[in-house]
Amino acid sequence: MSTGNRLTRRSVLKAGGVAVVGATLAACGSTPTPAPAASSESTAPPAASTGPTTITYWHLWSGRYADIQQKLVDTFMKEHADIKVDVLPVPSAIREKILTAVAAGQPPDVATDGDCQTMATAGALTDITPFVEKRGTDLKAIYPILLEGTRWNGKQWGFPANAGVEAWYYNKDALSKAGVDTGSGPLDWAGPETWADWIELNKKLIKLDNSGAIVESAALPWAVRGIDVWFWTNGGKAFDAASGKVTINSPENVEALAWLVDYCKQVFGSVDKANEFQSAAGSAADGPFCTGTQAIVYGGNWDISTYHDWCASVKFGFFRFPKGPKGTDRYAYGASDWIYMPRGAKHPEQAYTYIEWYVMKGATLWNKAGVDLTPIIKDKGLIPDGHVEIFGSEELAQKVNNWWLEGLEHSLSTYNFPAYGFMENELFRVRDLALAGDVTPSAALDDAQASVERELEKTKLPA
Amino acid sequence: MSTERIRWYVRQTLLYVALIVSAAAFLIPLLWMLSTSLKEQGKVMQTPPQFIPNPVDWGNYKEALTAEDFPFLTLLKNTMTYTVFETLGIMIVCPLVAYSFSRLRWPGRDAFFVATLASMMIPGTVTMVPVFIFFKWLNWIGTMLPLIVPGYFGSAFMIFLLRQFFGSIPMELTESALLDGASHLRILWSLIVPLAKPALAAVALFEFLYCWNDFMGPLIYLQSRSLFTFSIGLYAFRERWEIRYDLMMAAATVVTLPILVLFFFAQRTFIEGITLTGMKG
Amino acid sequence: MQSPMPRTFARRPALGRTATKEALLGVLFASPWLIRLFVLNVYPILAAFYYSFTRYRITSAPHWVGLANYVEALTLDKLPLQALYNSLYYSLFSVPLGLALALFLALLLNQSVALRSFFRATFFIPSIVPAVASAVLWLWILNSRTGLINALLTSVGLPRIPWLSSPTWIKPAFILMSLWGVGQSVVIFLAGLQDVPRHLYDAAEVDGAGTWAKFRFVTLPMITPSIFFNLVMGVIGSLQIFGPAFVIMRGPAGGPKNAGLFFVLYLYNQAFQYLNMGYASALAVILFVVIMAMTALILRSSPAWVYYETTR
Repeated sequence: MSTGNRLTRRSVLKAGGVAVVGATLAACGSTPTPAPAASSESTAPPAASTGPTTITYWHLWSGRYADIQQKLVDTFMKEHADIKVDVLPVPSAIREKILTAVAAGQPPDVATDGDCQTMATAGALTDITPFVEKRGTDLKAIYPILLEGTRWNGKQWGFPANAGVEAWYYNKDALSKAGVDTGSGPLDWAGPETWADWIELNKKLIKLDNSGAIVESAALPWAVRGIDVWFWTNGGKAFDAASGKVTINSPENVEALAWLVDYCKQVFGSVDKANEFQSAAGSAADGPFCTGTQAIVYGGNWDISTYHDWCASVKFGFFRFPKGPKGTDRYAYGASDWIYMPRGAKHPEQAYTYIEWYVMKGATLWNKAGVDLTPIIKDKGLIPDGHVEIFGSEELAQKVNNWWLEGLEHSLSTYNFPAYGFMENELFRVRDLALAGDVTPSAALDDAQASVERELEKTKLPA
Repeated sequence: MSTERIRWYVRQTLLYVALIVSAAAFLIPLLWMLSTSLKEQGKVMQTPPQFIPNPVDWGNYKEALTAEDFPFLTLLKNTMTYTVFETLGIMIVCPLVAYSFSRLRWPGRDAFFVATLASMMIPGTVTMVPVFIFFKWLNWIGTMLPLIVPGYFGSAFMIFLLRQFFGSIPMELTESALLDGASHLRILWSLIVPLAKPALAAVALFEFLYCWNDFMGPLIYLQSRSLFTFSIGLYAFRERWEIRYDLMMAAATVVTLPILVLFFFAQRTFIEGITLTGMKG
Repeated sequence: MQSPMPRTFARRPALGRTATKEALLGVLFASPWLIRLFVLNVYPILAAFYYSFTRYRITSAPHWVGLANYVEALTLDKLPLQALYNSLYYSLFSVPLGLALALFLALLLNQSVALRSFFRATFFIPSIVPAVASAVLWLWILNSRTGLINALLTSVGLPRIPWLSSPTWIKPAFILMSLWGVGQSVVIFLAGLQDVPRHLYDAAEVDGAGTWAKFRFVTLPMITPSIFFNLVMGVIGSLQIFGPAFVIMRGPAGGPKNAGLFFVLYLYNQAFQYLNMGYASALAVILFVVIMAMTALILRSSPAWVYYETTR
């Protein structure tokens, strides 16, 4: 590597002495203490009861959700007089904050984050398998696909802090105008069954004006949280956990991507037209579904209250993904945030008490407050506050809640891949290229297959 | 009317037209921000875009300023503490360093100047972790010290800026003072500083601005809500699945006001004065 | 009076004891900054350089991999070169346009006009709006359906521009946003303009110089130090554009077909999304080389056009 500038080299040479020292410091200083928390953990004395221990808890919520988090913490503290929880809402960039803190050896005891696997592979978390075993935490109480996102290398690294399910919302009035009878309730119509049904329906829904610009849009199937869900609809997947192999360019997947390209051509004509319509609104309240310009949108269970609050005039329902030719199930997309103990937590025993409480009890209270679903299977019965009012009867509200929760049973694990974030972004990248016609679907997925395999290699650190 | 006069009128007209057109272009986004802060949620993004909110909702200001996640006075106190003390450090140290880089000769000076520029060429992303570890070693995590103390050791941007301006002041001025027996410190204080007032005002303004809006620094180093600054506070309106634009714009407007006041003050005191008196003889 | 000729720094002969005294004083005055330079800049930069040859996941020990990161960045991974192109494109347009606009505005604001303070504030206000609010603002203004610019365009019969969804238009969108933030450069130019000695203008007028001649032979040469500053800072800053891109694109994504994936945005993704800090460090080194090369070019050329009063 050349510097290309005489003066730079000179100034670097001048600082040479300090540089060598600096580099050594860097190499040593940032090498974390090698002892894994688990072993240091087992030699720690049992918690001496000389007064409550305070643990630090960082979470990623803000606004009214931060208020609800505080209420959860208060409930926990009432039940556990010997543990005090110091809460810090970190409204953005929590990943940087946690990583720098762990690297410097001053992490919080507990944190919530949008990622668990990648953090585990980087050595940022405390292995909680010993705690699970010691305390007999009932892992079977948690939805399996969510639990998969917390396991890596045969160990347990955290728990799901909540559950989210995403599917498709539709506007009942818009659909009846297109000649489809969707019944009166939100669950009365199962939505288009097959890929072909999707194209047929959406061709009816799209409306253009004289200049050819979209006035009312059809659904955008590729505007989802992860393209791999369309692989599932055709019986494929991006990653096979059993064999540990990346399977992005399997024939089923290529077929799925080819269908997306075909849909785009048939319904929109060009992807530019479709993307142009896509709103840049940051708020569902101002988005195209609420304003009636898009009849079918991708959304999550939390959108129920948003749509009710901001556009109650829109009568909506929901349905799951269709089935491709090789598909076996009508899928939903399951997601979660995670709660974990960063490596180097100062009070691991108390931290684990909190984490265990959170997944077993706290997440359900969070669900009840109308925020996200619960990762705990048996708590299906709790109707979120306000939903009875929204749906008119307790019975319907219960049915709706169950339907969403069951989505977790009709979902594949989305976070069981150590380079999950990278894979999703790569899939989006090649999706764009395929939709624009720059590459064939097959070439696109070969491209992603290669890069994701490379990235997976990087996460395999020596023990 | 003489051609002189006509030319003058034409020139003045063109001047005003250019100013007004440019100003309008710059103002529009700002007016939009104000307008949004007065809208009800749900009316925020209408087609076609409405400038005048209807109805006008002053309540956003009250709601934003009294929101539990946005404790205005605490945020103000913390932001002021960070900003004022750090800017003070910059104002004390940077003129000294800039003087040294522009008006004193010492071995390695130019190399270090290039190093100063080079220090601005690495994105904070990769320096963040080593710097954090350093401050952990000093045991300053959780306090405002990592934010404020480095100001007392200068800033590359400000030093570069002042070095340019100090370099515009003629050597003859300082040479005669040196011959008269004045020390460099005296020269800096009595000769250079008064002549570089516009630049110094700019430095104060910019540094104040930088600290006032600094997000990453406070986020990484502060560990308790009671120390949070405005920049973090503004995120209170960016909730998990939606953004309360109306409240955020109200809060942002209020957060921007002190800088505006500072700007007017700095303008009046420093920049206006120099134009009228002109410069040295 | 003749027009001031651009001159380079002249060398004065060293004067023995006085020179040593001056040298010591120079180092002393510069010492606070030198300390900070070593502790908070050189050390982390060298750490980053070291990490660029390792696989480093921030919270675990770095493993030496030699040039693997560089090989990947320049040959295997398609995105770094695309991202570099994006940043260079952005820089190539936003810097000259921004400079020209800032100078133009500063010249306007330096005249004696009514409401001068008001106008000055107008141009400066956008620079002081908090970044998160500013980016959010632009999301609406550039919205292809409900945004302000497209509303203006359609009102005069022009077609809508898909600012943020089109690979062709997303970079111009960011360039436009950058122009709105020229306030800082305007302030610096204003300060520079005010430092131009009056007597030079008077002398020029005596010689019969008109407006353009006064600008070309008095103003322009005298403000070259400010131009130099804004140019260098413009290059250094624009190649590292991150904040607006991050907020506008709602996180690590790179926009349509990654046309908005700026280099530092990709670097950030690698560092904090994928936890490949070693790879990100290699990217940082590559960027450093590019920025340094461009700055060196400007530095090398500066004696030919930048005029300082001081002699070395």
